[in-house]
Order: sequence, then C-alpha cells, then structure tokens
Amino acid sequence: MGWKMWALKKSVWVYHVNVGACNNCDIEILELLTPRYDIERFGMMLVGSPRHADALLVTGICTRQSVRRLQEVYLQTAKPCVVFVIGSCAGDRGIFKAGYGSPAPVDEVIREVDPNAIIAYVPGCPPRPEAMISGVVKALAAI
Amino acid sequence: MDSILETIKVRLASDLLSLSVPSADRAFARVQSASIRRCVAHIWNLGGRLATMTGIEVRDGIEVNYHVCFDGDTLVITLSALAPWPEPSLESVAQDIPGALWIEREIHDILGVSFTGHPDMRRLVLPDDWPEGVYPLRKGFEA
Amino acid sequence: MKRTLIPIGPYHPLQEEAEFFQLFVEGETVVDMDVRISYNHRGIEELSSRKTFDQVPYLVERVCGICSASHPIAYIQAVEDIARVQVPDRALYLRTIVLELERLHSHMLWIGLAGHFIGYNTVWMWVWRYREPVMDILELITGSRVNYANAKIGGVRRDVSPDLYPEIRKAADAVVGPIELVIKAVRDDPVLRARLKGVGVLKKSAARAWCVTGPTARGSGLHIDVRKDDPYAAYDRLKFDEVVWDDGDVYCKFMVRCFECLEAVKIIHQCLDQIEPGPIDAMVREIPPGDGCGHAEAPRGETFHFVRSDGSATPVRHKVRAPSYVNIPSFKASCVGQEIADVALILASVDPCYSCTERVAVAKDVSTGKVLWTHSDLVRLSREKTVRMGGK
Ligand code: SF4
Repeated sequence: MGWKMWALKKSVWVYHVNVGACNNCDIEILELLTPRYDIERFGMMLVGSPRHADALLVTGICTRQSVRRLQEVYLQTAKPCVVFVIGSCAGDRGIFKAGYGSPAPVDEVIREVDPNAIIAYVPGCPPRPEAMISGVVKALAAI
Repeated sequence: MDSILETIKVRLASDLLSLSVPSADRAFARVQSASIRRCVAHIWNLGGRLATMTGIEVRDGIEVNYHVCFDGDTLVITLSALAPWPEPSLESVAQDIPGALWIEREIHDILGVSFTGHPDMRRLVLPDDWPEGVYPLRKGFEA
Repeated sequence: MKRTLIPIGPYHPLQEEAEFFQLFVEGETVVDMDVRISYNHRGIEELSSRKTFDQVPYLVERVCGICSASHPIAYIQAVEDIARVQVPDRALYLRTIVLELERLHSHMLWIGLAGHFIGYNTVWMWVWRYREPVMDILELITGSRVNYANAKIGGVRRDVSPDLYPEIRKAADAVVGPIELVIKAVRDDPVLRARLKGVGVLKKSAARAWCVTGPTARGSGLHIDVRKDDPYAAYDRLKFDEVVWDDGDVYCKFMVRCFECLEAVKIIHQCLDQIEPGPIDAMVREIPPGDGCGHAEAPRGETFHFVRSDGSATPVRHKVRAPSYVNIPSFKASCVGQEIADVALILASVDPCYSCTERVAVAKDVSTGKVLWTHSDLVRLSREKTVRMGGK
C-alpha cells in the first residue's frame, strides 16, 4: 500500500463518530478546530462524511445500538483508514465496563469487520487536546 | 408551602395513604394505586411541575414515584404508588401531562410496568436488539 | 402534497442517550416529528447501584460531559438530603464558583455552535477562543478541564488557594466584553435578527405541558430556576437576576443564555467577595436509610436526582433525569409548522448537546427509499437561508 500510505499521511481528514460518549471527548475534539489548537495547520480537517475520511475518531463505549452503525461507518471509509480510539471509554469502556450498556470495546467491534484495521489509542478521560494531537502525530509516524 | 400541603391533603383525601415531611422543602406521600392519575392531576393543577418519575423494584411489585416540584414554593413532593406483581401496571398520567410521555416509556422499558392509556408504548431507551421481557433494572438481572 | 420522511441522526450523544429524529415534511414545512433515543444508553442507573455512595459522583459526572459539575451536585444533594448533612460554608461557595464557571463555558460553547448553525463560523471560532480562559481556570481550580471530580458528599474535595482569586476574577471578567459584543450583534444585525426572531416558538402553555426547564423554559416566559426556587450551594446568599424572556422563540433563548453569562460573572465575583477561610468537608461517615431528592440548575436546565438508601454502602436506586430529557420532547411543539431550513437551529436552540454537528444523517424518500439529505445538508440549508436574507 506504499503510495497510498504516503498520501494518507500528507493531510489527514478525520470523521468523528460518537458511539456512546459523555461528550467531553467530543468537546475536546471540536476544541481542536478552534483557534487555540487549530489542527488545520497540520492539514487535518474534520469532514462531514465517512467517505471523505482518512481517519475515524471514535469516542464512547460503543453501546449495543451503535455496534452495527460503527461497523457500517468504518466500512464506508476509504481504505487505508486509521481508527483513533479517543478516551478511556472507547479504549476499554472505562467506568462503564461493568454495565449492560456495551457488549464490546470499540477495537473489537472494528476488528470484527476488518481484522487488519489500523487502530491507535489515545487514553484519558478525556484526553487533553494536546494529547490527541500528539497521539495522531505518533501514530502517523509509526505507520 | 404549608398551605400547599394542606390543600393537597384535602384534595387527595381518602386516596392518601400516608404523608411524611422530613424537611421544610421535601414531602413524600403514598397514594392508592388505582387513583394515581387523579392524584397527579390534582397536584399538577395546583401548579406543580412533574420533574420525573422513578420506578423501583420492591417486594410487592414495582413502586413508581412521581416527583413534582412546586417552583416558587420551594417544595418537592414525591407521590408514590405501587404496581403490584405479577403484571405491574398503572394508569398513565401522560394522558394529562405530555411531559410524562417519555419517562413512562422508559419505565416500561427498564422495569416492565405497563401504563394503561399511554398513547405510544414503543421502546425508547433500550436497543432494538434487546430481548423482550428482560428488564435491566429488576433484581436478579445480570449484565 | 407529497410527504417526505427525513431522518436525522442517530449519532447525537446526550446524557444517557443519543437520538434519532424523524421529520415528516411536506414541501418545505415540517408537519410532524418523532424521536428515538437509545444510541447512548449506557445503563448508568443500573451501574450506579453497584457503586458505593462515594464512587457514584465519578460516574454521574460522566453522564454528560458538559454538565459534569451539576450532575454530581444534584446527586450529592440528594444524598445529603437523606443524611441531613450540614455542609461547611466554604465548600458551598467553592461549589457555586465551579457551577457558575461551568455555566459560562457551556453557554459560550452553545453560542458558538448557534453561530456555526446559521453560517457564522467566525462567531464559533471567536467565542470558543474566548471560552478558553474559563477552561484554564477550571483546570487550575479542579485539576481537569472538563471532568472536575470536585464535589463530594459533605463538601468539596480540594480547597482553592486565595492566590487564585484574582485569576478567577480575571477569567470571569474576560468573557464580559465578548458576550456584550454578541448581544449587540444579535440585537442590531438585521439578518441575525431575522434568522432568530419568531422562529421555533414554544408557547408558554406548551412549555408548561412538556415540563421543560432551564433556558428553554425561561425563554418561554416560565419562571423556573432551581437556583431561586430551591436554593442550594450558596445561591441563597447571592444577588442575581433570573433571566426570563417571554416570546419563546430562538431569539429569546439566545438572549437568555447571553444574559445568564453576565449574571454568572456577577455571581462569581460575589462568591469571591463573601468566601471566608474554614473547613471544606463535613466528613460524612454513614448514609442512613431513606429517600432523597436533589436538583440543581445545570446550564441546560434542571437536573433531578432521586436516591434511595437502605443504610448499606451502595444506593438501592439512583434515578438520573437530565434536563434535555424533558426539553427534547418539546421539539414536537416547536418544530411543527416550521421550515426545514430552520430545524437545525430550533433543535440546537434547546442545546440538546453540541455534538449534533457531527452526526451521521441521511434522509430517505419514504416511497422510493432514495437518499435525499444528510445532516450537513440541513446545516447548509440553514446557512443558505442566512445568505439569502443578507442579500435582500
Ligand atoms: S473517556 Fe471520559 S470524557 Fe471521554 S467519553 Fe468516556 S467518560 Fe467521557
């Protein structure tokens, strides 16, 4: 996938999916767009459709009702696609782990439809916007 | 607030089983299950606002608490009625108060109380693939 | 005329639930709507009965990220209601300060997004920039930008050093200028006025019938403000106005929020004037059996918590009612008869949650199943309308 990867890393367009988050992670993601953090200077942009996206930002515990919808969204993205799992909820369901709300963490849900998916984790509850930027940079350097 | 409690006592009359006033701004009343709709309507007409309802599983059935706030009089009064086993059911107050439409559907979802006269008892909070007849807030439920 | 069904959603996180709206439209006019939630149902109430009284605040903080001060406060007040705790004064003031800072940050977030919806992205960017000092000061006080973990049963967890007072005042004062600017802009700009005035009216009687709370109710002329009606924290010792506007349209709700920001700044100053050194925690050891109700005025309205204790370490039942839970059903009253281009704005006007901007949204023609709209189309429609009006 050589040249595709090269192209992917140039300017990452991200699509934000909330699959049962408390909103904090989401506010912090929007915060990235605003003047203080301004990720557009790195060529990153939040887009309105998964079909335009190079990366997914997934937040929340993946509730039962969202499982299929998340898989659907993932399948719609152009491959290769990097999945950023933002926050403790998405990573391992955090405080909600013991509840009946979520059958599986986000990475398992995605691996179910694509075992080779590229998944990067940014833990924190919520991660600071700086942490998200650094997570994205590190992940892109690694792939 | 005393005057409101007095009025309530008079209006509810024989439907009132017990009334406790633990502090100046809280009151808890038990009422006859059969007349719950009338009781709530009385209180509503006195200017109360139905904040929400809580269903709780108790030994004899499901207890449904109606929390009504009297804004301006610093009083929150909780009416409670029992929906006895084996088929817990109560008359719907949503027929008079549209604000109760959602919460009755929710209690139906999570505790299985049916509200007779409710115009639309479709599922509200549980996922589409949730099995029928399993109520997550009843005792003995395992995630 | 042909009836078209427009689904919006479902990705719209809000307290425990996300929603899925279905608009039924004829031509450009909305004739009916239906809401389905559950996408965000995380089972918090069930989880809560497996945590100890002291752990629950961390859980309810995560009910809704933006109200992460109000939910724990409402829960804690419910528990204090059972245990009859006398909370030290200093703790009450500290709670109030965090609650009001939260209101500032939440209302500014909303003002920004309202700007985004009507096509004024500059407003969004600038207002969010002005919101940053508030976030910074919250971080200085509590240790985190959004999940504060500040209040606990019987008091607060961390004290605030007096060295921070001037910083807090400065951060609060810094938002006054921008907010006044926004107020003036909305008042004087003919296009903005036209977009907001008379749109999505929620009549007083409907507001009462749907039991709405918060700015949604106060924008419809209802005097409901828990801070006044059932004073908690230090609100009974502070002077502030309950902002009530009568017309029930988006304009009124906008103004209510703007003026509440100014009130919040006043409250913060008064707290800092009145606060005195002292203990911050009543050291509650046991929660006796009993029932307790607690409510608090979150930025979006009243959050209501009911707790039943049987004297053990965990609550038997903990009910959470977030403000949007009562505000959202009222869309049925405010959207019907409106244009589709205004719907995004009306939905936003009760501030269900900011994340509606990023939802997946597709619309299908009921008869053919053909995809017609996406949520960004709705926002685009809304923006185009602004442009049209500006051109006139
Ligand atoms: S990780 Fe924390 S902040 Fe993020 S959605 Fe989960 S609870 Fe909210």
